[in-house]
Amino acid sequence: MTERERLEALLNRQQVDRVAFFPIHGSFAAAMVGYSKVDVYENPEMAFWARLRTQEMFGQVERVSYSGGAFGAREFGSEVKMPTSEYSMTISLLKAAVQSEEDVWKLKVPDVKTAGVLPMMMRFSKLQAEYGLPISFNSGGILTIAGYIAGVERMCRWMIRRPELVHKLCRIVTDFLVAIAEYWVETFGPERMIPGTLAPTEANQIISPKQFEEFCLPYQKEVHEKLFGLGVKHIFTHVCGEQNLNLPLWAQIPMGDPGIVSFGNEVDLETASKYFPNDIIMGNVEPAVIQTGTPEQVYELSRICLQKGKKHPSGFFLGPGCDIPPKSPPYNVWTMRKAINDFGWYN
Amino acid sequence: MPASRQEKMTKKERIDALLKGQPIDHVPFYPFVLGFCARNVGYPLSVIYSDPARSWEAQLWTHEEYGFDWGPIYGYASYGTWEFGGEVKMPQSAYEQAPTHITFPVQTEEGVYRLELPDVKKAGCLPLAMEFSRLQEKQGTPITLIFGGNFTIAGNICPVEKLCRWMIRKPELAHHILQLATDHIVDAVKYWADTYGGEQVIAQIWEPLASNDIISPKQFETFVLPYMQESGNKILGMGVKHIFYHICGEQNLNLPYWTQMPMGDLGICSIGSQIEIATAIKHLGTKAIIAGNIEPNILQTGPPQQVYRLCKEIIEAGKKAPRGFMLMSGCETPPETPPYNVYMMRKAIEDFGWYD
Repeated sequence: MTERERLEALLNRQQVDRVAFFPIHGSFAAAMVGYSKVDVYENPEMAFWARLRTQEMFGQVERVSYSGGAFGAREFGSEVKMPTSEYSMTISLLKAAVQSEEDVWKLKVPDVKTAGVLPMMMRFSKLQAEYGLPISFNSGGILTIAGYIAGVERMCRWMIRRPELVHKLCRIVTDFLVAIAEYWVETFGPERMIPGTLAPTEANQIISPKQFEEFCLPYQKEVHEKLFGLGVKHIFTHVCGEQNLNLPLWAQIPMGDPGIVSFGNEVDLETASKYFPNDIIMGNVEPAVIQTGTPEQVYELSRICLQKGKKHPSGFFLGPGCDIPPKSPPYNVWTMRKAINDFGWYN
Repeated sequence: MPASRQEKMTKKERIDALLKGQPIDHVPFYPFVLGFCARNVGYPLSVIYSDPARSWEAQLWTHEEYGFDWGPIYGYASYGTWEFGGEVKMPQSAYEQAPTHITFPVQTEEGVYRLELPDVKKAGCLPLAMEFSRLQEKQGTPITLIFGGNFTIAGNICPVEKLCRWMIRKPELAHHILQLATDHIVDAVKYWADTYGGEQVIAQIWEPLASNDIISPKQFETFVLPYMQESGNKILGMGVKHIFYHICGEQNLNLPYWTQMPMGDLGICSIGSQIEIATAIKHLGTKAIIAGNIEPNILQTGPPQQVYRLCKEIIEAGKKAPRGFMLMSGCETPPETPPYNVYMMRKAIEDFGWYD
């Protein structure tokens, strides 16, 4: 099968010949093609070609995505810092748009045709359409985006002391995400859409499962349901970091028919399989090991992931547990592909 | 990378057949990649030259990833300085690619006559090179011993500016150094031939300093040709079957002399991007496998489409070489080359390199 056929078959719940290799790389892709890290966030053409070429080089599935970096920040007026230093990986928050309680009540859903990186994201999606690839846009995570608007620490304090402010933020983020979905579906139609819900701030290193239940679950569920109402069939959801205690709650959110649910290395793939039996699961080689480990370690972690993931009834992608760090040795990434060659075939 | 067509030969079969002048399935991809391999696997660049086991590992893994043929190699262009008693510095900074000179063995005219031939079992990088060759033997890849060429070694024994002045004003000094360089090459190859058997050894001679950017063809005729002929004949006399010359940089005007070099049956001549493949074939194609010559600068800084187009042109020209052709960079692939550009070279072989 070609990479395109393999992805199509998985999304249609058909048999595939082997496990596919799912790319998550932004600034790593820049390093593979000789671009700067800023290029792959600020220039949609370069973002597209860096990712597509890196995907080709490592024999990954034909799917590239662009989330703009710190998505939500610039769209609502926050200030960001570009990844210009040796040790930066992506765009980070410099000054949140919301600094006070009053700022929350003044917040409005921005114009999705002009706000922040959305014009660049639209250009990227036009390239995806031109080259026959799945079309992506951001569909979450709710608290991750809210954190870029208000700052994560402030948001966490308000969850305890002024929960109505966080609910207001989440309401606005939900309406914003639905407006983006409507704009994208209106432009491209729903058939080839695979939007992405990327949820690092939802991790239990930051919030409790109870907070997830109150502040994320209802809003994220609403966004996904509205997307399916627009005709979208599949959502890619990255359950980032330590989220074991959130899994019963994530399982209440519809992911698609099937959805693609990706996990950080903190979640065991056998556990993930139990919670998402009807979705494709993806993961979850530890990014720190990909960057600093030996090829043997990466190969062994990949082998274990493949062994567990292949048992999942609705299909499995091998991938990193999060974005591949930009200084990862290319050979370590190649080793993941090699593990698929050695252990990823279905009999 | 997965092959677009079914390969009919293993890497070893392909290189063995190429060296015997037999047909092969596709153009081999010769690995003129050293520091790039360290970067590719996350090692410090210096290990390529200072740690044979890790150098081997880094190269082998990188070759596997990009589909290089031949096998790992050990060597660098400033060869001669350390071996004759000078000092080299391993590459440390972001902008260094290979070992560089710190002090030269010879600074004065008197120093020339004090020079002695080094013990090839102990001198400079040769113990490291020997350790590396043991890995080559163990893994069944070509046992390739790399030197600077006779003139390059001479220019690494004393500063090349000084050597150039002496060629004009005190030619006897230049001849004395060149004779020592020649004797040293012969000694070292003999050590390798005694250890592994001459037939197993491929002597690889990189000659950047003899380029016409530095010396004239007339100087090449006087100061390079006779010495390289002498070492070449002696090397072949030890049972070595192939000498691999890297004709580095702008050497178009030297080509008539290169045709007179002993290189075995078959020889191998790799060329810099300054020489057209068709020109190399015209001069050397009947006695040598031609290898080359993607411009390293384009590999490092050019867009992938340019690398791919260039590879296509070079493969198509190289496939006309009567004794065979290998695709490689025109000099060492710079360590900071974007990996995708190296992948483009292999992709071009997949797309245009098959012999029908």
